[in-house]
Amino acid sequence: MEYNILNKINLINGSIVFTPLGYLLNSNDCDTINANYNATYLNWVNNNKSDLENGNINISVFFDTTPEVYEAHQVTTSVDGMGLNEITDITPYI
Amino acid sequence: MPLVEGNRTADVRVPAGSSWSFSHNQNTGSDGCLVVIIASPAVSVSSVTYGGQALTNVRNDSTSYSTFWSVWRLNNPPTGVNSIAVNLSSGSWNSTSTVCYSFTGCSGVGNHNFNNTQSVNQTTSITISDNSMIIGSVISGNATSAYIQIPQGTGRTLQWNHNINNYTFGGISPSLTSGSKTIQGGSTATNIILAVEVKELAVVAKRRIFII
Repeated sequence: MEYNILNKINLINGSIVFTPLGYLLNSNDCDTINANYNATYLNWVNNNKSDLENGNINISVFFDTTPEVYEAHQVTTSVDGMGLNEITDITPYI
Repeated sequence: MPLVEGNRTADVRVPAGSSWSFSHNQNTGSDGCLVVIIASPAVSVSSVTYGGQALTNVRNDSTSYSTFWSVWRLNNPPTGVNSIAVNLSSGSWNSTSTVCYSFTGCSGVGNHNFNNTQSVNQTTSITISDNSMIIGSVISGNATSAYIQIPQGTGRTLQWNHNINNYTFGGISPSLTSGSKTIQGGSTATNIILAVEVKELAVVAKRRIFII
């Protein structure tokens, strides 16, 4: 079995922090969350990559308008011992 | 004890800095080994730790896709859930792929080879010991009809497929017989390919001599 870890991404004290919230088993839910991640955070990062690399813009600009973003790109065959539960309602994360 | 593939964790993320970490569960059992493959666009990997223990760098290649490809291993890693921590040589805003395989009954990484020439349906070959497994990994211009064959002609399930500016995907064979093995992978675009042997711990035959 494969578990898709749902991570929250936000900015804490100037650093990007990934926080695992639980796992998803429904691949359609993963696609929905990742499509939103691609269209928002990843798209913003890619459009501003040079400025981010040069220090001309800070990632905080993105999080000023979108405090949290979610992604489910991490896949594992075991969640034993991670203290994670299955998430079936993705409404809060899209 | 035979070589057994255990837990696997595959992760792709924008580091947004020069380090990141995530959890992975190393199986219990004797002669454990952890193998990690990282595809990092533009920026090389400087170190990897698991549960605070440093992994040994097996290879670190600068590829024709402007992506660094590195292989790391740790024999007898701590078991259970521990943190994989990756450190880059500098900060990165490129999506970066990390794949972790746990094994038991393993003596570590054996031979490995890498074909850096971009070609559709690229191949590479390695010579392996009896009962070794092969991890095959591809970096390609796209992931359309992506596949991996280990050995060539035998398709394996893609266990990761990550968008990292280009794409990286791959899988693993079961235990194979010894000899030279060619692996093949690709998509509808050109690609390069990497093969990594994971070796079974050789059982030393015991012989008793009776002196009369």
